[in-house]
Amino acid sequence: MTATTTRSFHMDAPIRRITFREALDSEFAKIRSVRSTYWTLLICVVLSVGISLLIAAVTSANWDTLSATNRATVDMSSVVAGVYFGVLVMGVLGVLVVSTEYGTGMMRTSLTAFPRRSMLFLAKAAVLTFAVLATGIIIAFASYGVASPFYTKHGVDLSLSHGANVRALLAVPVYLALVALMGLALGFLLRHTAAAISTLVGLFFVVPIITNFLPGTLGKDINKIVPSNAGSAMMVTHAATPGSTPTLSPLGGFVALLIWTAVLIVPAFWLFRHRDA
Amino acid sequence: MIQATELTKRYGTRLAVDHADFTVAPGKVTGFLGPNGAGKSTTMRMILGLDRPTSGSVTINGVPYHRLAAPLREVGALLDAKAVHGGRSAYNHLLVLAKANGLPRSRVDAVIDLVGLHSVAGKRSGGFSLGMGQRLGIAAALLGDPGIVMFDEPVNGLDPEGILWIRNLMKALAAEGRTVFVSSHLMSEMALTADHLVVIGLGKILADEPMAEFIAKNSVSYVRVRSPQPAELAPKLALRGWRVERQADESLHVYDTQPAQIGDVAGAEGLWLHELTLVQSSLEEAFMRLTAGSVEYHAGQSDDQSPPDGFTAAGWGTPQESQAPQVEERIQ
Repeated sequence: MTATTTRSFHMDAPIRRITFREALDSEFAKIRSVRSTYWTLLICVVLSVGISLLIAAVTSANWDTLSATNRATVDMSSVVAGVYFGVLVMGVLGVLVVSTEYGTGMMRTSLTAFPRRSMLFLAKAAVLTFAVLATGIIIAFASYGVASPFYTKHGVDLSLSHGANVRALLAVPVYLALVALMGLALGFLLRHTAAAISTLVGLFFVVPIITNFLPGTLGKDINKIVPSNAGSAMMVTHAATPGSTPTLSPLGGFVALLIWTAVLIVPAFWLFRHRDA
Repeated sequence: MIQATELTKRYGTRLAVDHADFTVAPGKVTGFLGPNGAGKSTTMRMILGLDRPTSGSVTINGVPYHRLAAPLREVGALLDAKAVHGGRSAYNHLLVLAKANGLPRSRVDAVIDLVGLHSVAGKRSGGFSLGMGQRLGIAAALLGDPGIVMFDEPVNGLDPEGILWIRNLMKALAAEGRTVFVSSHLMSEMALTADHLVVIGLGKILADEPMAEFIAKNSVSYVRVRSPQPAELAPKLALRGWRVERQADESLHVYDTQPAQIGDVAGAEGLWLHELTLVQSSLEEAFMRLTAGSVEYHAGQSDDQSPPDGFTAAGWGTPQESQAPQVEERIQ
């Protein structure tokens, strides 16, 4: 450890230009090496699957009291109903992946090691997307495993031989990943954990409430496209029932959520490239 | 080699770095000296491409930082030892950085050995002491065996052993032919380590010269003489060709000589002496005189523009230090 031994650690390998590959490797090593990643993913799984199970058990127990119209709304979206809550945890993970780097000053260290900012941004987004998609698939099929028997015994058709059911199940990881990316974007935009999480929660839980107070059809129109409702629409397989709250089609929900994500991520990307770190 | 050309950074109305021109050459320790808020960290962040210059440029071996093929192979920087994710182990922190530049795992082991963090490499860095954090930061800086190393206030808050270790490390790195650029707000620290000095005050480069030259130019000494008969003593001393200044408190400041010779003159003339003291102006005072000048200059320029944090004459604190500008007036 004496200062005079620095020669012994000399490095002879030729200098190779850094590429997207190095950014990916580094970001992957980052997300794997902090406990908060595992905690967050675990909480998301337990919360989503647990609430899906709870809702299934309660619905099944009260099946006889449900009206025919209510029974008609039971579909794959009921099987993965817990995702409504789990999604926020993924949003928080997206925020944390960025905001903890700003909070600790690690972002400067990261940018010193890898100053090609566009690549670093994309690598961060790619690694987060991968982690959330993988966890989302687990959540979708675990929920299906524990919750679907409660519905199928009442004759609800949840067979995976129907394309619509598979599509609804696969919408879960996609929904989670897009919300995680929204969190990531908010982290880059606000660079502060509390501010970014508050904004995310506001977007998911406060904005929908506000729309109820808006006059005429305006409130209902906005309510359809808020992230939580757009995301939920992606998992619906039953036909719209008369008199129910209007929702987007599954594809419409997906497009709305893509637009939400883009609206946040494009300025986040631009700012990250141009702002002082 | 680091080269700054007309490097300027403006935050709102405040010029943090003002048309700075300097070169940091290999093979020696270059000290980057300035009071808090003078623009040292801003300059270093611009060198690393973290902050974008408002105008001007700074290059590393001829290219801007973000164009370096593999930055860690060319520049190692320690800006803030606390700039790590506290939840990540020291080993993993270094691994993350190594992977970002395609460096093998063996490099992580090599630098951990070098800084002596072996026993805590697997521990989360959030629990590290300041000294351990500093060692981790230096390990990160040396990861790619870079030809240029930059440390921002590396000895801040360290214990004496840690300070000595860093001093020796910087000298050893420079002796190996590397470019070593280290910032400090303490002249005394620079005097011990730096071969070359770049002084910054309120964003302006005030001096860029070899340490030896700075010392020769700026160390001033005189002999303070108190006598009940100053009016008679002063001309006798002046006759010897020494510069004599009579102070308001009736003491005399005599330049270009030593106390013994003054005593001899007084004895030969039969005059009484009550005090005979050699007063040496330290480098610290020379540095403060230099930067105090820049404060006055800027304060006089515009009244509405307040100097940055900590950069006021009063901010320097101790009474002894705040007398420094007065010393200057008497000398000139």
